[in-house]
This record gives sequence, C-alpha cells and structure tokens, in this order.
Amino acid sequence: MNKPSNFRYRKSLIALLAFSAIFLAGCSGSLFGDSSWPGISANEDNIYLAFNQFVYSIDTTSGTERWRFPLEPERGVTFFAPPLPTEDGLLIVGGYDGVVYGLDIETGAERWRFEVGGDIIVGAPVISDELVLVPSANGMLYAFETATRKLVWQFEAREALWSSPLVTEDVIFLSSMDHYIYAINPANGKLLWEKDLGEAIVDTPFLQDDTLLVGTFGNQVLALNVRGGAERWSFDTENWVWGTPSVRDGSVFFGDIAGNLYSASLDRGRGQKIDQLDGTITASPLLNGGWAYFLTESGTIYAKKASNNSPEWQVPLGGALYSTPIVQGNSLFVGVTDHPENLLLVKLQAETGNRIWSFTPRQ
Amino acid sequence: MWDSLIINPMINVLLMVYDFLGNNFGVAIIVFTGLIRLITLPLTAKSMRSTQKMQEMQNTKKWKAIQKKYKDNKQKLQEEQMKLYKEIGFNPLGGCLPTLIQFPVIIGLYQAIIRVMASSPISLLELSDHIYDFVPSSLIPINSNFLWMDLGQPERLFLPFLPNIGIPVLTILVVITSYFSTKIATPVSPDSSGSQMTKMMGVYMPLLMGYLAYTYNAGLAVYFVASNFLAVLQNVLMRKPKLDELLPSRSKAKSKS
Repeated sequence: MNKPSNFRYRKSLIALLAFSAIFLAGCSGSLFGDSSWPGISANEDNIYLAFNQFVYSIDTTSGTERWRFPLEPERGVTFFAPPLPTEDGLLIVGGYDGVVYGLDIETGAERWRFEVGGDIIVGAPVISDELVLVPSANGMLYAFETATRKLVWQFEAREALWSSPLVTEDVIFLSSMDHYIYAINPANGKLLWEKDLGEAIVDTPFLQDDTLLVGTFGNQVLALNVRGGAERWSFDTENWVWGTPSVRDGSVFFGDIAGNLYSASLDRGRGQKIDQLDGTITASPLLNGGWAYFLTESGTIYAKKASNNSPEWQVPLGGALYSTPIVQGNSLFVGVTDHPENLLLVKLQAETGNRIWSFTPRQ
Repeated sequence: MWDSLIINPMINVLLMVYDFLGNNFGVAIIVFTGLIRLITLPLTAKSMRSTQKMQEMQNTKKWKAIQKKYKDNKQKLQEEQMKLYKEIGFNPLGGCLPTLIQFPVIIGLYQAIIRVMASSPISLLELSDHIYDFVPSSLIPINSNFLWMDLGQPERLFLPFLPNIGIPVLTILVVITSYFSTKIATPVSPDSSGSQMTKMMGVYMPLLMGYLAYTYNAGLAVYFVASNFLAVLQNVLMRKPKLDELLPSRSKAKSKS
C-alpha cells in the first residue's frame, strides 16, 4: 500500500475508534457525568458546598465565593459529601477519591489529607468525642484523630456506607446499603447490636426520644426501639424512601422517590399520604419553626405551614433539588444540580420564597 | 423508546439472573452476556457465513486477476467486483445487516451492566426508574464483590509479596481476548487495503478496550472478557479457522506472500 492510502486508512480507523469510545462513554450516562448532588453545610458566616471538582466557601450575606479548594481541578478528585466545619478551624471533607481532606476553614488551604480505603465517600464526616468518623462506600466506618491522623478504630459493614453516622453520647447508629442498622460503641467501634431491615438504607436514621426512624428501599419507614432495634411500627409507601424522616409535634414527615409526601404519628405509625409533589423526593423534609420545606428532583421547593397541608408558597428554582436544605435565621440555602445557568446554591427568604442571591461558580 | 424496548428488559433480566445465581454479579454478567450471544446467534451466524463466503471469493483466481488488472483504476475495479458478486450470487452487504441489528443489542447490554452497578447516588436514582415492580428491591444494591475484585471499581490485583503494585489482570485479559476476537472476526484480506485495515484493527481495538478496562469499573472489564471469549468460541466452532489466522507473525508472513 502506498503512503497516502496507508495514512488515509489509519486516519479513518482512528476516527472510527474515537467515535466508538465517545459513543460508549456517552451511553454510560452518569458513570462519566455528575454522579451526585451538592453537599452543603454551614457555620455562622459561611456556607460550605462540595460539588464536583471543588469545595467552596461562600459568604452567607453576599453569596460571594471566599475560597475554593483546590485552586485548579485535580485529576480524579471530586467532592459531593457535605463538608464538616469543626471548632478548631478545620473544614473536613471526603472526596470521591477515597481521601479525607483537612482544610483551613478561613483560607481553604490544605492542612492534611488522609487516605481511607480508596472508595468514594458519599456521607458527611461527623465528630464523635475527639474522633472524626468517615463512612466509605467500601463498607468501612473509619474513626481517626484529626491532630495525628491516627486511625483509632474501624467498623466493617457488609456493603457500602453512603450515609453519615448518627452520633449520640453512648451509641453511634449507622445505616447501610447492606440492609442493616448497626449500633456501635463510640469508644472502640465494637458492635452493640444490629438489625436486618431486609432492604437498603441510603440515608441517616432519625432519633426521637427512644425511637429510631429509618426509610428503606422496601417502600417503608420503620420505627425501631433504640435499644436492640426491635420494630415498633412500619409505614408502607408507594416507592423507595431515600431521605431521613423528620419529626415535629409527634408527627413524622417523609417523602418517597415517586414524589409522595406522607405524615404518620410517631407513637403508632398511623398516618396518610398528605400530598403529591411534582417529582422524586430525596431530600429530608426540613422542619423549622412553624414551617416545613420539601424539595423535588423537578426543581421545586414547597413551603408549608404546620396548620395547613397546602403549600404557603412554592418556587420552581430550575435544575434538580436533591440535597436537604439548610436554614439560618430567616434564610433558606438550597443546593441545586443540573441548573441551566449552572447555579449551585440559592438563598431564599424562608417565609416568602423570594430569592436573595444565587451562587454560580466562576469558570 | 430505547429505554423501554432495550434497556429496561435487559436491566430486569440481568437482575433476575443475578437473583437466580445467588447474588453473584460477576457470574451474572458472564451468564447474561452468554444469553444475549445465544439470542443473537442466528444473526451472528449469518454474518459469519457472509464473511466466510467473501473470504473464499477473495481467494479465487478470478478475483485476484481483477485486482491485478485494474489496480490503477479504482472505478473499473469496483465495477468488475460488483459483476463478480452478481455472478456468484453474493451480497456484499449481507454481512453488514446482521451486524447492524446486533449493534443496539450490544450497546444495550453494555448500558444495562453499567446502570445496574449504580455506584453513585444519581446512578442509583436513575436505576430506580428502570426496575419493574415484580423485581424485588431487596436486590439493590447489587453485591459488587467477585473473586478478588470490586466490580464497581477499576480492577487491580495486589499480591502479598507486591503489596504496593496493583496488577491490572483484567485489563491484560481484555487486551489479549480483544486481540483474538478482533483477529478472528476480521480475517486477513488478500487485498492490501483490507489487510492494512485488519492489521490496524488488530492493534488499536485491543488497546482501546484495554484503556476502558483499566480506567473504568471492573464489571465492564468482566463483560469485555466474557464477550470476547464467547466471540472467539463462536468463531472457532462455526468457522473453524486455521491457527495461523490468529497468530501475528504467521498472518503477517502470509499477507506478504
């Protein structure tokens, strides 16, 4: 074969292979795209937002970016777990690279990094006494000292941990994708008891008095005795329950991924569907004062008053709303995914839904 | 339409196979790939017969004479080739159609495996839209442990005496099996342009597959290995190729001669 012809064939073959690669990559959907939603947390002055390649510190008053970490995207490093602000000036955040980063909360400078198993970190780290607890999708809960990064203990579940542990003085409660709820001794990480709920649990349990409330993929919310995990009642839903249930005045509120909103009594689990929202509900209901806020994948935020089932206001923000919002005083902070204008965070007036500012990261 | 006709049935059958096999997703991928190969067997057989016929034709004296005579006149060469096709009743597109029909099935299979692994929150939410009511939700999430691998992560094997070096065993297997499956599916053509194309495919395709296997989930790599292995097996059983069709040095020598 002569040279030009050889070159032409080589070029067309490379084009064919490149097309195949792009086509296959495109076909795999979210494997190569955003794989989660913004993780948000706050202290008095700042909102901390972890999304994709950066962790942002955002001024709560003005909505401006104070810093971001890292300054430039790092290959293979993405963040989605809500960051943890600590009292000793750190912001601790888990990455999808299986690394926990300790950042200076004022500047965003990296103070340390600690590798925990290599699998993605979806759940927010939490503090238990002097230890930081980090759940990993490799099924391990790691407890380490922040000062020395010494691993003090680790607990192994049967499957991925995507939720934050719920920490009390005597017990750490851990829900897992392996269908189990675990109660763990915070001093040494030893198992106190475990309960098989038969279906995956993706979010953190809610503790009210001596009752643990858990939503499962078995289309149920279960109430368990905090000592031993015996079932007190169960409530059937139409579809998977993703977010943590919330409680106010003896009533439990929760949504399912079919967009149904429910309320049940805390003592006996008797209740009903109270509304049909416009899309999948993954965020936990946010109950604040006399208000309740519900978010949907379709991008709408609903605000209801305790006395009334119909919304006081509802605002379509665009994009998709998956993360549980944060309330501070009279303001509501809502993380947004897939927004057409690339908004990541919106601050709303909590009683009216009026937008105060929105945060779009600079490119 | 694509989801309801191709993806959803595949995802649910894959989940049922996974359930039937005692929640072993690695074996489920292999068995499911085998099932799909079985279903598409008539199309594959037709395509193979066409390739074989083409190969036989290209070895005839008449074909070679045409190639030689019109090597500097491409248009005339094509006309003569078409005449020859008509003469012996060969449809040059006969092998393409079955391959084209299989293509969506292969893409669907690939997508189904990726989606069922659902290793992040958004992919899990997306998966929930595809699962039929009669498939038990207790199967979710799938158990991604298979042999030494986590099927949701890129595969590396750490040996006790090499604790810091991860050996990409599956990637190596993907490259080797891709080489053989490409080689056996695209036999060396006597005409030089086809031969060049075949040789390049034999080099670039395994490298591309190897790159994907090295970078993405091990589940995908298991599918590549299973698919390649079954493709080779199918070819061996149906076409009975000679060993020298598969070996690089001999086929090179042959193509030169």
